[in-house]
This record gives sequence, structure tokens and C-alpha cells, in this order.
Amino acid sequence: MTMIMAEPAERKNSESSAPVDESELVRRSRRGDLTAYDELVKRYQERIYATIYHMTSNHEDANDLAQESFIKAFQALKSFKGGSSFYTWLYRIAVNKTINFLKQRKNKLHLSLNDLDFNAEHDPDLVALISDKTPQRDAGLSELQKKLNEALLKLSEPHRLVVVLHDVQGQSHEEIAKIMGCNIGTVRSRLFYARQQLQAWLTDYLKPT
Amino acid sequence: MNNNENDFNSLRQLLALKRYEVPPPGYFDRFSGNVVARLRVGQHESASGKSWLFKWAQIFEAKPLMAGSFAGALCLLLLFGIVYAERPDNEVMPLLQSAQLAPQSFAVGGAPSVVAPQVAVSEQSGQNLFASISNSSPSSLQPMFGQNQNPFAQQVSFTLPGN
Repeated sequence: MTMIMAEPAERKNSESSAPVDESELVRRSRRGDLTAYDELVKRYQERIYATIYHMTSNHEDANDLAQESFIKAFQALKSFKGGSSFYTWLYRIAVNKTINFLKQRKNKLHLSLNDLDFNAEHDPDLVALISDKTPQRDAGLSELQKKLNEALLKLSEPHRLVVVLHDVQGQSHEEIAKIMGCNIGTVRSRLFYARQQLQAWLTDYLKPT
Repeated sequence: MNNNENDFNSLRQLLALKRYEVPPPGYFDRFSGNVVARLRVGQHESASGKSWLFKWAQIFEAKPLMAGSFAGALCLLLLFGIVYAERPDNEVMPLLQSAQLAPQSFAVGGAPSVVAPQVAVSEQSGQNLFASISNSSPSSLQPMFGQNQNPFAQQVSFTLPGN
């Protein structure tokens, strides 16, 4: 089975607010019901994994951190007051865990990139981007993927997180502000600065506007 | 802000590439199972009382300063214990010495003193209350151990200072 993580953000967000009773699952999980928690994990595993993966650019690290985030969330469920959605609360745990990990591993990061889905070859935007760079499309995408991840890793953790959540995962400024515990203005300014930096580093791979 | 969005349009197209990076096939089929399995192991460990030890070790692993201060506190406790253990010996000795002198000081006017009984191996002074007790109590043990057979069984008699 091939998992495609390129779903539009709108669809993902609408799934999270589906009428399936999340609060009931949380309540049952809090009582130690692992079947209910399994359902919650299945619901958010792709998004949590993807965020961590895009932050670390390493599949093994992302796997460990994502699992640990879900385990920590289960253990801390009693402290979950319901002030925010379970999704936002879970995201905060994953993000904090990832940032702590990245701070400890400063300068020891290495790429372990996932394969590109075959649909990437048919994305018109990406095709347009690489068509001028190299005649070999597959090699071009792989090279582009490597350069993009290297550039992302050059950003500071808060700036990288804003880019990942907004430009890769399609989260709103408001949602990002809640996850990061800052105001929307900070999110906007971090996003602007991070894009400027990335644009400067990846200028050879971008189409002139 | 719209100008900014347009400025970065090309970059955003490039960032879309990240959405096509996918983990190995079937990865998410196993993911929740792995998480729940780890949680079950954790619950089992906490039920068997291992988790507190593990958490204890984890605290010291993450914080070397805390580990050092804990070790220092243990050393201080050990030193305090040694010093405290030596002090009572010095204080007990004078007490024992004064206790040995006590019979003379308390035996005024022929009054019986039971503060410092004298221990003797001989069998004498049957009129003495303590002696009668001492004579009678070991006799019940004699059938078991035999007279003077057991090196640990000694007859004890108490004599009043006046006798």
C-alpha cells in the first residue's frame, strides 16, 4: 500500500473535525483504554510523523520521536484539561519533543530521506521547476529534494517549524500560533524571514518571478 | 502580504515537493500497533514495579548535576552515620563506670539495692529471694541440657550487699 501524504490541508482539517466522537475516545483513553487510544493514534499518526520528519529530514529519528510523542501524550492524558483540541495538544507535545531533540543533536544531523511518491513526477509545478535544470526528471527531483532538505536544516528550529506547518502542511497562522504558543504576528514574521532565507539559498533551483 | 505571497510563489511550489516524501510502504499500518505495544509493555512494567526504578535511573541519566548532588548527599549521610556511631560509645563508658560504683553509694542502712546485681557462678544464699529465683529457673532447663553440660547455661545468684 502506498501512502500519499500530499493531501490538501483543507481535506485533512475537515477530517479532524469529523463527527467521530474524539472527546469520547480521549475520555476512554484517559481511563487506560488502549483500543480507544489506538484509534486516536491512527487518526493523527500521519500528520504527526510528517511534521517531525520534515523537521528532522530523517525517517528513523522521525519514527522514534513520533512514537515517543504518542506514548508521552498517553501518559500525560490526565493533565489534558481540554482547553485546546486534543489535536493541538498532541501537536505541542510532538513539536516540543522534536525541538529538544534537535537542540541536543545540533551539528550531528544527517539526512535519511524518504522516497518520493511517484505522483511527484506528474505535479505540473514541480515539472516546471526541474525541466530547465536537467533533462533527467527523476534525478532532478532527487537532487532538488536533497537541496531543499539541506536548506531547511539550515533554518533555526522555530523558523523551520513555521515553514513546515504552513507551506508544507497547510496549517493556518492561527493554528500554528496555538501550537507554538506565540501570537500570530510572530508566526507571520518568522514565516517571512524563513522564506527569505530559503529563497536566497535555493535561488539556483527557483524559477525567476 | 499578497505581494509577499507572490514573491515566494516559486519557493512554495518547490516546498510542495516535501509533501511527496513518503515513508516505506505499510509503515503507517504498523505504526499504531507499535505505539500500543510499547504502552502495554510500559503498563506491565509499572505493574511489576520496575517503572519507578527506571524513572529514577532516567532522572540521573538526564541530569548529571542531580546525580552528583545525590551522591554527595549519600556521602554526607554516611559520614554523619560514622560520626554519630562513634559518639555514643564515648558517652556510654562513663555511665557504665558510674553504674559499677552505684552499689556502695546506694547501700546505706542495709537497704537492698537492685541497681547493680553481682553475678556469681556459685550456688549459695538460698535465703535470698533473687537466689531462689535463680536456682529454680535453670532447673527447668536441666532435664533438657543436663547440669553444667551447656557452656552457655550459667547459674546466677544475687546477693544483698549486707550479706
